[in-house]
Amino acid sequence: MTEVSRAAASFRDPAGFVFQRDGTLYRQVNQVGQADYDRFISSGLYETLSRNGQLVSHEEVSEEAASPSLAYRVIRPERVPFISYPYEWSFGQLQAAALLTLDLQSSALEHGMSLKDASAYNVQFVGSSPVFIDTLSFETYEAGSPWVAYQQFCRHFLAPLALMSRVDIRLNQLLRANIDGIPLDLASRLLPALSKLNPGLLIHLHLHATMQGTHSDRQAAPPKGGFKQTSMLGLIDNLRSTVKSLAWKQPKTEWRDYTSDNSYTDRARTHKHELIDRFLKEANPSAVWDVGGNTGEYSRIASGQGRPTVSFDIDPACVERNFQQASTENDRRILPLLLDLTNPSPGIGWSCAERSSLIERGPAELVMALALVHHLAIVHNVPLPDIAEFFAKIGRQLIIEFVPKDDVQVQRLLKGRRDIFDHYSQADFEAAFQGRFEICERVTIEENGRVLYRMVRS
Amino acid sequence: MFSMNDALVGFDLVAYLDPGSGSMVLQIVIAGLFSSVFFLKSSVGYLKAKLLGARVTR
Repeated sequence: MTEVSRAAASFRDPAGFVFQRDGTLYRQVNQVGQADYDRFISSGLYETLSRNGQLVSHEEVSEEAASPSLAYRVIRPERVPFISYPYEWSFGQLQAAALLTLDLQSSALEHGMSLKDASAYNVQFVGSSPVFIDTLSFETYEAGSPWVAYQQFCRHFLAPLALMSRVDIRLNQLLRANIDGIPLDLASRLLPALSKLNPGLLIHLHLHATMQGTHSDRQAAPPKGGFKQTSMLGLIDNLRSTVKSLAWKQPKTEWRDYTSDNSYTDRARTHKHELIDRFLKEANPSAVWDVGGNTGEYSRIASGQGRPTVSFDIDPACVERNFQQASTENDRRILPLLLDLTNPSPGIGWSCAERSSLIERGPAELVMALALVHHLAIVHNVPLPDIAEFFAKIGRQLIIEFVPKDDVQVQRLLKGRRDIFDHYSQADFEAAFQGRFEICERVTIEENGRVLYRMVRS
Repeated sequence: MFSMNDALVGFDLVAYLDPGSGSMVLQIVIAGLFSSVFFLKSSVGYLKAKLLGARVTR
């Protein structure tokens, strides 16, 4: 039987919506959006943006619409490999997404159109490249009109970037609590007074927040002279300069230099690389999640084999470094993302469904968890059977490393605390996982003592 | 003299998201500044390109 479902986040814009039929993604263009869609195509804007890789390409199809009485067209957009959200992005990723949005607005103006929204959720990443996914975000530019998406741009991009840059990198998590971007009055209050010396932040955040407070109950309208196109171009140019002026000076964190500063000998590291390379080839997954991927050293073995790989880590500095490397190499296979495995992204927004939880976006064909289990078990006290159960939810196959208790890293974790982990042993680890996975292979890493497993979910 | 109330009269703006009155008014208030800076930057860019272009040609 044919199954049709509208995407949970696709209900605000009357111009159309996204739906799935039998697992294929479609977008219905409504009659309400006909004029803008036709102009978007006929003006050449779609062709320009999709050719440049700035917008997902689509095909017009003769598929039956999900709501035929409203429909004008049905299009089938190209699918991105993994949907991620702004609260999972590093500073550089959010900045790249902001600049893409401004570039799209500049291109739209050149074609007599304008972005009618500037949601960070309209941007996704294919590897290190940001790509816009909402084909219906473009409307005909009305001469004299200010930018209707200005407020949304400041809430979704400028406010979090400024807070991450000028206050604390962890404040990107405010995006998880505020699904429509960080309220500008909150951003203004949290930013240091010195941020007012940056003219862009002064205008677009501080003054903007004040104006919102004083004009909250009035109808919006431009002056009789209108908002000229040069003013619009000036606004976009100024926002671009402001976004570019923000930088994050990475501190030295516990994990950022882990790859070059750990207990592996050269031979042990080489052997681990060889094993992971072989395990991946044997498992042959179409996509990989590397949880606790650090700066992506082992994720790159998977992506190097041509497999789309999401490289998750809890440390913003690691994710940033991973993203910068992927950007430099123009790597379209590896997607670095921020994730706290002990508190993974939940389903949020309307009906807890607008933005999917991590588990809903899985299961991955294969999950790699290297040098991770001891952190979950010892630092966070998660029992081994619970860890196994979680991995069974997020992956069909596993490449997982067990770090024994006498390992120098485990001993470091136990320093200064009582060892309550009587059930942390290789036998306990295998018993916990064997209930949910079949162990296909186990190999002890040379000159190291750690054990690498390849498992398949039972 | 331009007042905020002048800015709020007689414009039929239909957006599917609330653009925020304060956000719209702010853009209008600083429209002149954006325009001038953009014009200045574009002119400097144009002149630079002209001068550098001339030097390269020579």
